[in-house]
Amino acid sequence: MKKILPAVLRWCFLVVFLAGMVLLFLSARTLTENPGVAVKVRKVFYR
Amino acid sequence: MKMPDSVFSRMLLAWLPFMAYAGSGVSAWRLAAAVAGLYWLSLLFFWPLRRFFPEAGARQVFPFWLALWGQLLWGAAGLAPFWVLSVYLLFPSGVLNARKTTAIPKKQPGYFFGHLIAGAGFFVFAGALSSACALDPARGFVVTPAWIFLMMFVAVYLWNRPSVRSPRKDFGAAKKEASS
Repeated sequence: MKKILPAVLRWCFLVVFLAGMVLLFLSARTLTENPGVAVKVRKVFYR
Repeated sequence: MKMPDSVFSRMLLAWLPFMAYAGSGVSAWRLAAAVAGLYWLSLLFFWPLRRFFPEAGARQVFPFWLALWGQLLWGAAGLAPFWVLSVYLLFPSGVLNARKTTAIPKKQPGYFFGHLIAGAGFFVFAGALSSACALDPARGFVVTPAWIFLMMFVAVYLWNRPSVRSPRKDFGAAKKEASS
């Protein structure tokens, strides 16, 4: 049990991490679909 | 594939994707700042959390993390995602090894700080080298591959030239030669 629990917790952490990244991606995509935001971000990188 | 441990080798490898942006209107200094920023963010994120991932989990998740950031700026700024490759090549592989303590010497307090400084070093190196590459006097500010490789050669030569080495080391080598 002492060996299994840390492994299970680690896999849970991985799942939460991946879910967080997907949420971050979806929220950022809705933000950058706004043309005003996209133009501002584009100006940062292009001279 | 074994990645080089030396900071200069990693910086030179990490600069190679910058060639793809030559002449595209992308500011190399700002791109270098983005690379250094994501490098620092990744370091601050994966360094404390590396022990919480399953065996070799951080190593597998890291490319996914980079792909996410590449996709975000591709969508937002139309920036081709070669720059995340720079972060991948700059990132020290020992940080992602969760339980291999030999890769992360605990008794060296400056180890993590050294990795942070490498980000600032890359920013200056990549910005300066890209600026030098953009100034080809022979073609009137048009970037040519021959000029880019010449500038890379100059950077490697300046880094490796003998007079930069510690004088104590040279003295030791001279002493050995004299004694033999």
